[in-house]
Amino acid sequence: MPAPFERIAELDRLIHEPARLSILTALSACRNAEFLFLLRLTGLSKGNLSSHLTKLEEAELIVIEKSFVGKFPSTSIKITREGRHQIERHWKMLEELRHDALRWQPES
Amino acid sequence: MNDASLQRIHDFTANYFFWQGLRWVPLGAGLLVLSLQPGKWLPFGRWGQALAGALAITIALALSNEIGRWYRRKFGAVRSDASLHARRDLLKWTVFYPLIVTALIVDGWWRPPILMSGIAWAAAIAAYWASTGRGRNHYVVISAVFALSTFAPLMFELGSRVQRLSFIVALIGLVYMAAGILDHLALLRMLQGTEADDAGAV
Repeated sequence: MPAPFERIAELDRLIHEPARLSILTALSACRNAEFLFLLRLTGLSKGNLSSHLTKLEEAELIVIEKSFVGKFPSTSIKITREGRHQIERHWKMLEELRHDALRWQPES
Repeated sequence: MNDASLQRIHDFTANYFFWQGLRWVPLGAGLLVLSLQPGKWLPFGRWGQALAGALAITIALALSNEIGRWYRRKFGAVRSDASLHARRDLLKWTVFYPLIVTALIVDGWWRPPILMSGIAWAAAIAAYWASTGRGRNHYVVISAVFALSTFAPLMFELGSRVQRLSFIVALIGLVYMAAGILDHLALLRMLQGTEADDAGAV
């Protein structure tokens, strides 16, 4: 059985990257959120946020929808069923890792 | 990025509407106008007071709606997931709203030596604080203020029905205003990231 620190390598890097983890966490708490909201929440630049969203969209973890609210363009982002499943699995894995790390004793 | 900050992001996004505190400030001011007693603080009678109260609440609702648009322009919108709040909604409609209304009726009609509304609102505010992620600790203080207000009839002259109801409505109005400002400051702390001139572009 691998030590907890070795299991860290099993974490999905696409999700575990801090900005993407924040984005998916926020999206898992709502039906959808506007680009502007995620921009303000994460503190990323527009280009950086777009780049993270593109990666998540390519992995089919989110869906990006563009529309108009009155005369103004609006971009809303929604987590997919797979995205929700992945982020929940990720949180569970982090919790297990923390739990195992606290109890871990090095073999003599 | 730790568990606590992820949990904060989750709770904030799930309850984003409630963090938009400036929405509640005009409603608090409207309730304060509604609490003013005819003849004592207003230069017109009962019907004039009712009209002033109705007008104040109408203006407050319109202002609150406009502030909601401002939040959307400034910070973006979030469409809430009702399934995440099913338990809160159930408790709100089956426990806390009936409790608040019952306490108001008891305070107005039977006039017990203490204010039942103080207890009801203290419980409702504590439950609201817990159900929205416990992130805004000013609600603990507000809940304590409501709990203390239970003993208001022992400290102030609240003998008549009008005096009691006015006191309760004024207290709720003041709390709406204070909590609204503090909620807005909490929102600013969460959303201090990049401002966008063209948020639509991805």
